[in-house]
Amino acid sequence: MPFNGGGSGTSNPFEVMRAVTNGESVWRQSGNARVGYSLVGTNHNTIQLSYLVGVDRFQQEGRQYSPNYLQYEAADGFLGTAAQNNVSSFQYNQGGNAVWTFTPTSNRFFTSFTTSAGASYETQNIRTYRIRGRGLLPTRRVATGAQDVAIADQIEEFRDQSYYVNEQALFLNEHLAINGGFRADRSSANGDREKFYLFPKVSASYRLTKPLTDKIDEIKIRAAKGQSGNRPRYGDRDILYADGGLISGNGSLVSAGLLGNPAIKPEIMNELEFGFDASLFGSRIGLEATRYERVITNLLLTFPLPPSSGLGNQIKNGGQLSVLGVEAVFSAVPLRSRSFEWTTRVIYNHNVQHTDNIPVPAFNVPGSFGASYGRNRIQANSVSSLIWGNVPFCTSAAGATISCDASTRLDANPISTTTFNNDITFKRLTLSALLDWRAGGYVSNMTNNLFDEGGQSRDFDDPSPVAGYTRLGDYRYDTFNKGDIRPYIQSGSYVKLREVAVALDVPQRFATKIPGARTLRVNLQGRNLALWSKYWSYDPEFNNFGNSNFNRFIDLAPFPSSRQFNFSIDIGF
Amino acid sequence: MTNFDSIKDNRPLFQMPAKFRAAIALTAGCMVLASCTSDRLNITNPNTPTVAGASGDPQALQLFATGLLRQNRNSRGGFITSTARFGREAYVYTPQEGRNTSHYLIGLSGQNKLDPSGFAVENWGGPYANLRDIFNFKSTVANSAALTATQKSAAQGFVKTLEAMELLTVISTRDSLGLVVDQNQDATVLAPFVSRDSAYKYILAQFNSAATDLAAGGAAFPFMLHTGFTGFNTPATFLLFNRAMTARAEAYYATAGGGVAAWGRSLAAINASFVNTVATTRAQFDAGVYLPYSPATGDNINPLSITNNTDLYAHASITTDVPLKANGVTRDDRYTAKIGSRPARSGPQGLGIESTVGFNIYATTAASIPVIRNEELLLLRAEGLLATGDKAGAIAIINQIRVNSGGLAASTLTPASPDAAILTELLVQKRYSLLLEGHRWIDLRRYNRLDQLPIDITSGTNKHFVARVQPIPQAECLSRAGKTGNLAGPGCL
Repeated sequence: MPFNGGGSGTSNPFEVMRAVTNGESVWRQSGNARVGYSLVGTNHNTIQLSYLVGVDRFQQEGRQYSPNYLQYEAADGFLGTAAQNNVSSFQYNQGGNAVWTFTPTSNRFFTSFTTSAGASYETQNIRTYRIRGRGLLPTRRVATGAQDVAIADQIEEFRDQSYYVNEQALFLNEHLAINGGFRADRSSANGDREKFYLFPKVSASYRLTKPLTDKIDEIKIRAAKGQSGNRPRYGDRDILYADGGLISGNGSLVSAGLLGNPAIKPEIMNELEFGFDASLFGSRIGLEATRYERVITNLLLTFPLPPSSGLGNQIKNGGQLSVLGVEAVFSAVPLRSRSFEWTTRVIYNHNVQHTDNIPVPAFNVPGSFGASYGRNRIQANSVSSLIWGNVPFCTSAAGATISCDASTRLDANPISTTTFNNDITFKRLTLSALLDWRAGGYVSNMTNNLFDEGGQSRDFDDPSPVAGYTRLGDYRYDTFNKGDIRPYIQSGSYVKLREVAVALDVPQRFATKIPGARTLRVNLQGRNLALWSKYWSYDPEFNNFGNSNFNRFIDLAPFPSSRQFNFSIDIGF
Repeated sequence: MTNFDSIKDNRPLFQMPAKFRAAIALTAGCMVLASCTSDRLNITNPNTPTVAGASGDPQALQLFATGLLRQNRNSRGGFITSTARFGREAYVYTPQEGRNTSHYLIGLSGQNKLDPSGFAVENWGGPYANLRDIFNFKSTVANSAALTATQKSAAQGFVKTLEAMELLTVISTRDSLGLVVDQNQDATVLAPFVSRDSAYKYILAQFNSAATDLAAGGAAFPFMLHTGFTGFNTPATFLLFNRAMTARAEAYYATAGGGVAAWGRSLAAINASFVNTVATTRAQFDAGVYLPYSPATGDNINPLSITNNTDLYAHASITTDVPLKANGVTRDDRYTAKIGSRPARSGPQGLGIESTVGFNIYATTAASIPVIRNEELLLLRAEGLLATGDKAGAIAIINQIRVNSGGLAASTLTPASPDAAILTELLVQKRYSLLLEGHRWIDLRRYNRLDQLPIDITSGTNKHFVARVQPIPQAECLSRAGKTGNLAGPGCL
């Protein structure tokens, strides 16, 4: 139960922590079975048939209970709250495929051909139901008999079918590899459920072994181009009414604010990448560099309709978004001996996101708090990750500079992210550490704004950077109130010690002391252990809006990422 | 944690003889093929009614009619709290949300303008959402094979009255900016803006066309209305309500260019409405149409009630301006009944001044909010009489209200008093009789008296101002970017 979130009813946070129950449990079962059959098996030809079936089911249960004597309980007019939230998910897939490998009589040019073809069918069913009771009898922890009972119940179901064909050809003693193939998908989420959407892909690579000098083991040059589909969200294709709610006891139907589209189709991701991999000094040093371009066409847009039309948003395919980036990986084994090994790996990523064109007028991405807190805007020929908000960049009719909702010219997308990963193995002990560095990437720090509003920021009384204010907090909040969001758009650069793990392989002679056991491993792992950042609020890495591509940069007092410690013992039988 | 090594290594747990495996692989192949028919993908959304599915249901017309009334109620609370803040009747002093104060009383700092991307853009999206359903309802009724001509007439009279009411809400907050009256079947097609004059003409034409339809609407509607329409739930009695709303619209139009002719039509509409000209008791003043609320799950509670809305405060000027009874000490009965003391609270961060009073009008979360009631009709009648030269008639109504509604002595006005003095007294009566019913800001604008509203903070960054109109929301402007003529949004940057 958050106690930093405010609310009209004040309460003692320590009593709340002691009295409130908030638990969650997840039960998960999964399994799969595969049947394989060798139809042909000669020196030159093999044909393998296989059939795979898999199920994955989980049940997630959340329980909340807030007793009726807590101070804030009176605020909604009902004393005591009990809630039960259940998610029941069932996924099931089955598929069959055939693989034909043709290996011609040894020659310099052709090495082998592998052709595979298959089909699969997959279903996914998620049912979410919640019961909340408010106004409980003392100590009663269930919704039965509550003064106010609210129920939510929802089903989401996807059914997908696909066919695919793949060809992998190796030439010149496995130096040249060429891959090509396509898959055809159709889904219950598409507007046209009969139609298969075709996604081709092709890639090639060439290996140079020991070029120039013996110090270089291998250099691989590669290129790939392909398409993949992202199916529409559940319900995008449906034109629905909305439940209007009750008035004097009678139910009602009204137009849904979100207008579905019976012609909706998958958005298409076009990927093109070039790169090279190099391995040096007997695989002690590895280098990878990739230049990638992802162009998403037929975007699944949820764009706002004119409010005067009476409807909120419409779903439509169209427009183009592109991401241009580079990724580089450096890996090395600086030290290696019989009982000791240190490996290090550095991954660097940089990208820029553009909206190339959209088939509708520019719009603010729905689901933010508004212009005063900042938001993303989808507009043709612009960087889609720029933060828009109130800034004095417009000119009034009289020629004065006035505040308007415009781009702050600051980008929420970081300049680069770099990950440092080190593993040290000494005999049976393994120590690994993961460090993340994000350079740049602006954040709308509304947590700071909330603290300034109450005059409680830790640096509120620091000197103001501009004339006209004595205190920093006054400068920030007053500037914000005058329609300038920029004092709260702050750099979200950070370095974070993401993970440290220690593992010990217990010698077999101790492991076998446990009846039937063959191996024994002890792990200790810590996550989010340290953060170095000038960022004002808890953590520049946060998630206010859940799983969304846009408006992720708004920090309005969310929970900071939790520091976690895991201890586990793995026994192998 | 158990470590099943065989699973980790992808090593099968057991191996079957080859001929069994062949048989199983073939059977399985057939199963995959069988599950590849497209029939399997035809699933219906089980969560919400589909348009195709619900339209054929015999119950649908009732559900749609209730939906229109439900949506009409949705925007009522926002209409009252926004106009009450502009008209200096109320504050919404949410402790953690300064924008509930600043976006209404300060606007864009130093610009004497409200923020089109801020909070104070209500009374646009809500009414238009209902107008979309009104548009759909009209065609559902027109194309219905189940309804008789009389029933269709009754239903059209009902829906046209609601359409005019929603548009009246929008034009009373946008005034000179104008509004959009049309809905297109294709929601992406922009409808043009029309001027305030055209808007009022359209609204009044709808009210009058509805009256004609209601008169031919037979004995009953083909659906039920909610309990707030008790006494007004047949075509003949709903017509009385229609006339009352028409009277308000004609009065608004009269001060927006409609002139004496509109005043005349307003008075005629009042006479054809449920007005009780000899009302003296509270029950007689309160007779009218209401919006019912309920704490039941799925319903809405009264958004202005004492128990629920503890952030709603009254402007201190309501106390300082209150008329006193003949003894010179006791306050107006309306004040005593509607205003109560509260723990002192100010706007957060110095955005607003302290208030120690709030509204006691709605005691419970189930209290109804009036749409229009007899007391307003009497005051509208006084306005009409004053504007058409019957000063004595206007003063008589002012005194009827002062004595019976306020418990005050009759006023000292005589037909010899100047029009402006009579109007001033009339507006005081409207203010206290119709407190927190969404009138004062609109009335003062109609009579060019917005400058008479008190300004709490007159200098500095948090300087207050009185908004003349609510802006066209930014989302509307963005969807009209680059458009010219009447497709461009008035007042958009």
